[in-house]
Amino acid sequence: MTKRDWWMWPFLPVMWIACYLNFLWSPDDAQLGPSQRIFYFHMGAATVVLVAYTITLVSSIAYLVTRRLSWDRWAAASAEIGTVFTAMVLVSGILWGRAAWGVWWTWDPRLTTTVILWVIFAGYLLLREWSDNPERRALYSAVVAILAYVDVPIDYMAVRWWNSIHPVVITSQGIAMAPRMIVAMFVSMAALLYLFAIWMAIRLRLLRAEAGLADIKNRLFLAMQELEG
Amino acid sequence: MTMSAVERMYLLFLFLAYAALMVVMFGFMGRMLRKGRDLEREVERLQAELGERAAPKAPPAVTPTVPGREVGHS
Amino acid sequence: MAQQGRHRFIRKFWVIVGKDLLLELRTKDTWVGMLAFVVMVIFLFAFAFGTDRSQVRQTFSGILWLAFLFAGILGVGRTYHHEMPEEALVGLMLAPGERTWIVVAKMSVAFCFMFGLELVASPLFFILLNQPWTGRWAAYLAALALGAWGFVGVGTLLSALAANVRSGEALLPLLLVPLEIPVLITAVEATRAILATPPGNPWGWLEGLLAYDVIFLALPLVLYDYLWEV
Repeated sequence: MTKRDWWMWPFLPVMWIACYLNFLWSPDDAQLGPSQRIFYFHMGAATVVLVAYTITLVSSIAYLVTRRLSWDRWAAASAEIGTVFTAMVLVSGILWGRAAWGVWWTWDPRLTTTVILWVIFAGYLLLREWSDNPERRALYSAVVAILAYVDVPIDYMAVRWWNSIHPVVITSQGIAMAPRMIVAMFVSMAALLYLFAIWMAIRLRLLRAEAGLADIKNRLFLAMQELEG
Repeated sequence: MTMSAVERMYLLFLFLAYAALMVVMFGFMGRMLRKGRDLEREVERLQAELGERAAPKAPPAVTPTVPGREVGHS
Repeated sequence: MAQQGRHRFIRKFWVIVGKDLLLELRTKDTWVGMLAFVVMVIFLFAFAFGTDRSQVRQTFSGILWLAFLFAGILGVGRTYHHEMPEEALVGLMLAPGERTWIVVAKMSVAFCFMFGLELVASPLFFILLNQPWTGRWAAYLAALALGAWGFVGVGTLLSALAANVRSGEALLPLLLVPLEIPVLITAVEATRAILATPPGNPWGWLEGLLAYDVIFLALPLVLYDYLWEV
C-alpha cells in the first residue's frame, strides 16, 4: 500500500461500520426477522450495478464519439465489476427469497430482467475476450453495451410497471422502512460504492498496463523488422 | 419474530466473520493497487526507452485496422 | 437532381435485395437449411414430449416459437455470409448510395427468409403435432410478422458483428438469445391467446412486441453507422 493510494485507507473502517449497522445495530424486520439483514448488501450491490452499467454506457458512447481507447477501458472495467455485482445481487436475492417467499427462484419480472441483464453482460465480456484487434473490440463492445443497456431501465421499472412480488423500497411516497434501517441501507450503499471505486482503480490500472504492453510488443516487432531489413 | 440469545450471538459471529473477510479483501486490494502502479511505471519506462525512436507508422500487416473513419474492414 | 439521387439510393436497396434473393434461389443454402432444421426440431419435440394432443396443446405455442428462434439464429447468422469472401462488403459500401440501404436491404432479406419460413413451417407444425386450427388468420399473421421483425432488427446487427470476430458462430447465439427473450415471451403469449379455445385477446402482447420491434429497429440503424468503420 503506497502512500499515493491513501484514498483507499478509509475503506476498512467504512466497511466495518456498514457491517456493524447491518448485523447488530439495525432492528429485525417485523415479519421477516433477521433474514431482512441480507437486504442491505443486496440493495447496495444493486445500486453498484446501476452505477457500473451506466458508466459502461456513458463510456461506450464516449468511445464512439471520441475514439479514445481510454474510454473503452472504462467501459470494460465497469462492465466486468458490474457483472460480478449482478451475481452478488442474484445470490443474495436467491437466499433472501428462500427465507421470505419459501422458494429459491421464481420467474418474477424483476428477477427475470435481472438474470437477463447478467446473461447479456456475460455475453458482452465474452465478446471482449474473443476479439483480438483493440479498435475493433472497442467498437463492437460499445455497440453491444448500448444494446444491452436497454434492459437496465426495464429492470429498474419492472417492479413498478408489472405486479411483481419483489418489494419496492423507494417509492414516490418516500422510503418505506424504519429510520435505523434507512441509515443502514445508505451506509451499505456508500460502502459498496467505495468497494466498486477501488476495484475500478485496480482494473483500470491493469488494463492500461495491458494496452501499454501491447504497444511495446508492436514497437519491438517493428524495430526487429527494421533490423532485419 | 424475536430471536433467542443464541441467535443474537450468531449475528455477532456473522458480523465478526464479515469484518474479518473485509480485512482480507482490503489487504488484497491494497496489494493489487500497488502492483498495478508498479506495472504501469515499468510499462511507462519501457515505452520511454523505446520512444526515443519515433513510433513508426505501423504497416497494415501488424495492425490490420487503423483507428478513425475509413471505408471498409479487414 | 434530388429526385434522381433519391431514386438511386432506393435502387441500391432493391439491387441488394434482388441480388440476395437471386443468390438464394440459385444456391438455396440458407433457406433449405432453415426449413430442414425446423422439420428436425418438430420431430425432436414430437419424440421428446410425445404427440398426445391435449398434452402438446399446453406447450404448442412455445414449441413453435422456440423452433423459429433456433432456425432464425441459423438464418440470421448467415446474413453477411456472402459478403465476407473477397471483401464483397467493401464493394457494396463503395457503390453509390447511402450505406444505410445496405442494412435495410439485409434486414429485409432476413425478414423475408424468417417470415417465409414461419409461413411454410406453421402448417407442418399443426399437421405433425395434431393441432386443430381454431385461431384467427389476421392476428396469427401479425404475430408471425412482428416476431420475425423483432428477430431481424437486432439479429442482423449482431451477425455483422459476429462475422468479424473469432468464433463468431458461437458468440452470436450467446448475445442474441438474451436480447430475444422479450420477443419470445410476447410472441408465445400472443400465439397462445390466438390459439386458445375460446380465443383470448392477443393484442396487448402484440403491442408490447411492436414496441420492442420499434426500439430494436431504431437502435441498430443508429449503431450500424459506427459498425462499418473498422
